[in-house]
Amino acid sequence: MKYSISIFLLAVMLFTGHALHAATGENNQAQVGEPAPDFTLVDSNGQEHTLSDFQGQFVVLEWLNHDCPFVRKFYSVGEMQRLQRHYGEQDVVWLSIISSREGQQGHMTPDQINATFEDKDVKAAAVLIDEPGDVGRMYNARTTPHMFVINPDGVLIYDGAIDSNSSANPATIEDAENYVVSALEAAMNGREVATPTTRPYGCSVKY
Amino acid sequence: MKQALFFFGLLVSTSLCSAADLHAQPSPGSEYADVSLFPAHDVLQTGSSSEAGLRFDLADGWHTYWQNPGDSGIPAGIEWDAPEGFQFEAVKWPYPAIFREEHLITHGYKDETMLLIPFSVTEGVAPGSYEITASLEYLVCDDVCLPAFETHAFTIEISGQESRLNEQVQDTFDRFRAKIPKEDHTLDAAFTADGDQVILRLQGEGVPAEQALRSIHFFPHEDDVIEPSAEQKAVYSDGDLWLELKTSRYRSSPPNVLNGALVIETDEGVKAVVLSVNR
Repeated sequence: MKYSISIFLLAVMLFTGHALHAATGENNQAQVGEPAPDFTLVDSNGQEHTLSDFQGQFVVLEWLNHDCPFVRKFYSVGEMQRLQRHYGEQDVVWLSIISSREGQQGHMTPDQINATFEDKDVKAAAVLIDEPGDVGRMYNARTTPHMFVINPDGVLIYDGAIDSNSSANPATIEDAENYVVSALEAAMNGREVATPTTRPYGCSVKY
Repeated sequence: MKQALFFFGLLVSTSLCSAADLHAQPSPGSEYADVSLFPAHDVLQTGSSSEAGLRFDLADGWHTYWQNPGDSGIPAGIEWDAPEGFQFEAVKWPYPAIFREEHLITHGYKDETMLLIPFSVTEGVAPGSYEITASLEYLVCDDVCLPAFETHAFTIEISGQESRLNEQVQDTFDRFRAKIPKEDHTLDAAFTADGDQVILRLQGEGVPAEQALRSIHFFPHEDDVIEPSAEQKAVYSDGDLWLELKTSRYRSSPPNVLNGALVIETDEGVKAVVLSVNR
């Protein structure tokens, strides 16, 4: 059933005050196809990292909570570490980000982060601490894992699930499409990213 | 013909492999849910249909998810292993409740729920006793989430004679069948979409009176249509009820169709309506 113009205008009038969608990623919210919002966070070694410093390189953002079964799905079988190492060798900057509030699941002290880094043989470039959750909110990070890929020009080219099978069973990794891999491989070879956004799956980020 | 048999063999062995994987998986979530599977009939006449009920009895403070789980979580997934001639349909989901975690919203069930799965048996199935197995994965959460991997089974007798209901479970089936969103022909729905704004208009006798309305929420069936955490403002105008929704940020364009459950709570109780509206 199609609306006439007047009915639609009435609808718009009823909801005046509602901010219309900003295609340009204003209000500093991440938007695929737009420049990824810049941020500076401190890592587990006390070192600062600013996203815009990585212009010229691909960047992967991985929202992290080691106690979440969907994160464990990838770490327990070494798959996340494999991706981190493989793309790290291709000069991709892989940043894990923990937005868990203190007292919430996933929150770790810098020492705990470093210990886990060793224990699990993590190959990320750094684990960033986003404790007030500002960067998570800026990126609309909802789940762990929630993956973002940023190209060397600083444009966000992927936002969403790590892969196409939301099961918590690691056996499903093999046959699923890894969207991070797809985005990186496409962009690295001058092709358009076929799947730029998907609904991320995982545990909720514990803001 | 040989190729078809080989392929069939491959299919069967693949599904058996998944079942084996399931048994190898730790299932921490199982501790917080008591799950049972049972058919509506004890005896089913060959060539007819029934329903299977998958009941979740959840521990206090824990919840599991609806078909569209919302901002996080995953819905229960069922893989059926049934003899030839048995056909299992899509799950019928009772309407969900809303769970909030900071600004994030999920859709699901606490305390108890039961998913209903219609199934049918073709005429060709010979009378006898048959076992149906379901490989189940689900997620239960309180502050934290735990996955569960379980196998459930039921036996049903297929008969050349009349079907016989399992009387003991009919009350349970009735209770949860009542919570499955239904068509409502007294409600006329239409919507427009522009950018990230979706406006749903409801007209007709079925529109609840403004004074009696307590809450109204639209739950799309798919998880990438509407933003789960966007407030759904309801406005009355000339007896029509308008509901403002926000397009999912995971869509590249506004939806052309809205499929989902509209849950309306009034002074008289809750009504769950299934909507399928084209733009």
